[in-house]
Amino acid sequence: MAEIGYKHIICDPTLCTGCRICEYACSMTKTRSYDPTFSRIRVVRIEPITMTAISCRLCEDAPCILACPRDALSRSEVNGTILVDEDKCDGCGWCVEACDFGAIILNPVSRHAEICDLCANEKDGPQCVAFCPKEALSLATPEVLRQQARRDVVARLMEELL
Amino acid sequence: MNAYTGKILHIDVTNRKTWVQKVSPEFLKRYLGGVGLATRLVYDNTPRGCDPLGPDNALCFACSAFAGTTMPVGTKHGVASKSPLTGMIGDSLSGSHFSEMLRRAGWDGIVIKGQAPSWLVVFIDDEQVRFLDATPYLGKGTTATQEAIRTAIGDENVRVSAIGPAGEHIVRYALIDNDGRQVGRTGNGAVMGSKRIKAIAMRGSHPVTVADPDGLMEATLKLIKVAQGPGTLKYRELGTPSNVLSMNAIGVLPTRNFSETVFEHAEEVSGERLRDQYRVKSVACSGCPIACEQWGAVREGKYKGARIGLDYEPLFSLGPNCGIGSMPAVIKLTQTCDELGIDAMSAGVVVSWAMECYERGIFTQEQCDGLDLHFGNDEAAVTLLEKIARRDGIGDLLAEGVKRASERTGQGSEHFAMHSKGLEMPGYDVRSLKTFAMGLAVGTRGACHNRALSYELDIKGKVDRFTVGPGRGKMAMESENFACVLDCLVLCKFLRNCFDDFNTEVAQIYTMTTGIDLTPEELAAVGERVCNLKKAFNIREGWTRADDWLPGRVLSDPIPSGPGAGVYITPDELNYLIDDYYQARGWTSEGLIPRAKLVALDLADIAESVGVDLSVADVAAGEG
Amino acid sequence: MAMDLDVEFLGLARELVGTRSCTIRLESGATFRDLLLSLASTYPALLGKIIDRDSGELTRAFMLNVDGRRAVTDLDVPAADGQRVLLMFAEAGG
Repeated sequence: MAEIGYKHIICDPTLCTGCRICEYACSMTKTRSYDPTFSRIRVVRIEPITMTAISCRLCEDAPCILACPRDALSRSEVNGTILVDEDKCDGCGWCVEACDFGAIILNPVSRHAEICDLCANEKDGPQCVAFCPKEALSLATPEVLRQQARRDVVARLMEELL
Repeated sequence: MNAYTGKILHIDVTNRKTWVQKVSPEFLKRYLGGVGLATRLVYDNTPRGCDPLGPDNALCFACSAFAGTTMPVGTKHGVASKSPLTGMIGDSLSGSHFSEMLRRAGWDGIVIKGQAPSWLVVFIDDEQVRFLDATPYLGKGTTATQEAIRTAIGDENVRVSAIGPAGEHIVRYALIDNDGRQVGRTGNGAVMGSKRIKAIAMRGSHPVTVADPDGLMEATLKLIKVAQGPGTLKYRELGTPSNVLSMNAIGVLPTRNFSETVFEHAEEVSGERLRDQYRVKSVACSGCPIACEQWGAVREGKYKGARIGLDYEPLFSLGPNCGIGSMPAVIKLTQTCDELGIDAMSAGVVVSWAMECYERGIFTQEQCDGLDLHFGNDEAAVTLLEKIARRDGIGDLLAEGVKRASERTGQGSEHFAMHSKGLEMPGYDVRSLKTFAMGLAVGTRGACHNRALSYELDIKGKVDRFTVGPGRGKMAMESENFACVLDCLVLCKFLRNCFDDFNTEVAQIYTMTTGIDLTPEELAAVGERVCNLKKAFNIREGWTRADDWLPGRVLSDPIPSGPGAGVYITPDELNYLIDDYYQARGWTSEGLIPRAKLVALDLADIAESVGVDLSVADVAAGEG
Repeated sequence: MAMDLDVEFLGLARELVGTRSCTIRLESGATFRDLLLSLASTYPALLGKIIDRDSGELTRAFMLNVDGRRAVTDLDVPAADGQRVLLMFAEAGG
C-alpha cells in the first residue's frame, strides 16, 4: 500500500516562495535543457501570495493506471512510482485528465506520458528537493508529515507553558 | 547558440510591421544583456533629439544572459528608452516570469517604435507577433490587465507586461508591471502609453539550452545554498524595510519632503513592525532563491484588504517622506501606485512636494481640488495618486514630475523639488552622505541609489560621510561600474555579497551558460563601457555639467535635528567631488568623454559623433 | 573605572534578543571587540547569525554605529562612556 513506506515529493506551502527553481532543475535533469514545460513538478502561483508545488502523489488507487486504455501505466514495486511503458503509450492523454493533481505531462516531442519517477537515475535522488532553496520540498510519506504536524502542535503548547 | 538566441525583434506599431535583427556573440559579449543591451539598442534606434513621447523613441527590452536557468536571480530583463521624465537615458529593470518567456520566445531583445492608431496588446508568441485590440483592458489596473489577457488568450503560460491608467494618461513617471514586479523608474510606462500599447503579452515554447549543463547545475546549486547565508540575511529576514529604523537611527531618513532626517513615527512604519504585525508571506521572483518580497496585509480598519510586497523605497517615499506614520496607509499607498502603474518612489516625492507647497500656502485648498494636503494626510494622498494617474485636476500638474511641476509653479518651490535631472530622489538624506550626494548628482538616469550604490561607502564608514576628500571619485566610479555589470548580466543586486571573487566566479558561470569565453577583466569592462555609453547618450541629447546637480535644500538647508544636525553639503564641496569623479572617469572637466576613451572602451563607432578631441579639450587629469 | 554604553538593537538583532536596547558596562579602555564579547555572553541568541562564534566579530550582514554618526570599521578602537551604539544591518539598499 502506498501509505506505508512509499515516499513522494511533498511541498510545504508556508515555505514555498514560488521561485520555480524546482521546475528548472527537474526539466534540466530530464531533458538536458531548461524548460518548465517538461518539468514533472509544477509550481502553482495564485497571485499574489498563494503558492505550492505539485507532483505525483503515488495515489494508492491510482486513477491514471485505471484510466489508461492500453494498460501502459503500472506501479513500481521498488518505490511505488508510476511507470510508463513507452511501447504501449500512444499519448492519448486519458491519464492526464484522470489525474486530480495535474501531475502527468504529455511530452509533445516523445508523445508519451511522463510522470515524476523520483529521479530514479540520479544518484542523489530527486533534484527538485536538492535545489529547493527554502527546503519546502521533501521526500516523505503523508504519515511522516502527520507525525511531524502533531509534534509541532505539542511543541508549541509546551512553549506557551514555559 | 546557447542561452542567447542572437535575435532582436523589431516591431513598428504604426504599420504593424516586424523584422528580425541578427546579433553576433561578439556584440552580445560587449553588452551582455539587460540594461547594457537595452541601452545600446536605444542608442542605435532612437534618433538624436527625438520627442520621448513621440513615435521615434525606441522602447527596448533586453533579456538576461541567465534567464530561464537555475542561475540565482538571473531571470530578469532590462528596459530602456529616452526618458520622458528626464530627457536622458531611462533604463529600468524587472524580473520574474516575463523575463523567462522573453528568452524562451526566442529573443535576446525587442525594439518597439511607432505609435499605434488604436490601443493594442502586442502578443509575441514565439516568432509570431499578433496585434490584439486592447479596448477591453483600457482603464484596468496593472494586475487586472495581466489576468484578463491571460484569460482571453486562455493560457496561464502567457506572461504580460502592462501599463495601468497612469501609463494610459502618459504620466511622466508611469511604470510597466509584469508578474507583480515593476519596470519602475524614469517613465517607460509613459513611453509605452505614448505608443498606445496597453500590454505586451509573451509566450515562449523553446527550451533554454546551456553550453555546460553539468557545470552550471553544480555551480548554481552551490550558489543557491550560499544565498541562504549571511550574504542575503537582511533580505530574507525583514527585507529592505529594515532600512527604516537604520536610516532613522543615523539621521538620514527623509522626512516631510526631505526637510528632516528623523521621523517620530519611524517604529510604526518599520520593517520590524511589518514583520511583527503585518507580514503574511515571503515571495520570490522566478529563479530567485532569496525571496526578498515581504508581503504585508492589512486586516482591519479603513484600509482593510490592502496588501503589497513592501520595499524600503516606496515605504520611505509614501511614509516618512509624506509625514505618514501608519503602516496600513503605507501598504495601501504602495499598492495603489502599483495598480495605477506609477513609480512609487517618484510619486511619493511628488506628493510630498505638493504637501509642502500646501503647508507653505503656495497651493490653496481650492487649487488642490478641495484636498487638505497637509503632511500626514494619508487619505488625501490616496486620492491624489488616483488624480495623478488620470491627470485629473491638480493631478495633471503633478503627473509631470516634481521638476516640471516646480518650474511651472515657481514661488520658490524649486528649492525643495527633490530631484536630479528630473528623477525624484531616493530614500537617503544626502546632506550627511556627501560621497553619495555626488553619486546621485552624476547619475546618468538622474538621482538613483541603485545605479550609484555609493551610499554603501558613506553608511558603512568606508569614507567619512560628513566631509569631502580625495579619492571619492574613484570609489564612486567603481561602485557605478560594479552596479552596471550586475545590470547588464543581469543579476539582481541582492546577490552581490554571495561571492568571494565576483568577476572570476561570474565570468565562469557566464561561459558555462552561453558558451562564450569571457575573462574576469572583460566582464568588469562591460560596466565601464555601458556607464560611458549611457553618458554618451545623455551628451548626445544635450546633457551639460549643469545637469549634474542637486536641489537647493541639499545645498543650503542644514539638517535641523538628529545625528546630522547642522550638516549640509555646500556647492563648493559638491563641485569638488564632481571634479574628482570626472577625473577618475577620464572625462574632461566639463564631463565630456575624450574620443580616445570611447575607442579604448570598444565604442569607436560613436567616438566621432559624441566624443571630444583631446587636443582641444582640457582633460581633467592633465589640467586639474 | 567603568563605562556605560547604551546599545540599541535593530532588525534581526532585536528579534533574537527580544528587547530594543540595553546598557552594557565595560571597563575603562575597553574596545568595541570587548563590547561584542559582552553582548554575546549577555545575549547568546546573537551567536551564529549576528556574532560569529569563532572570531567574536560581527558576521558580514551586520555593523556597529556610534552615536548615529560613525560606523565602527575597526573593532579594536576604544569605546567611551555614554556612547550610543547601534547594532544594525550593514546593507542599506532597497
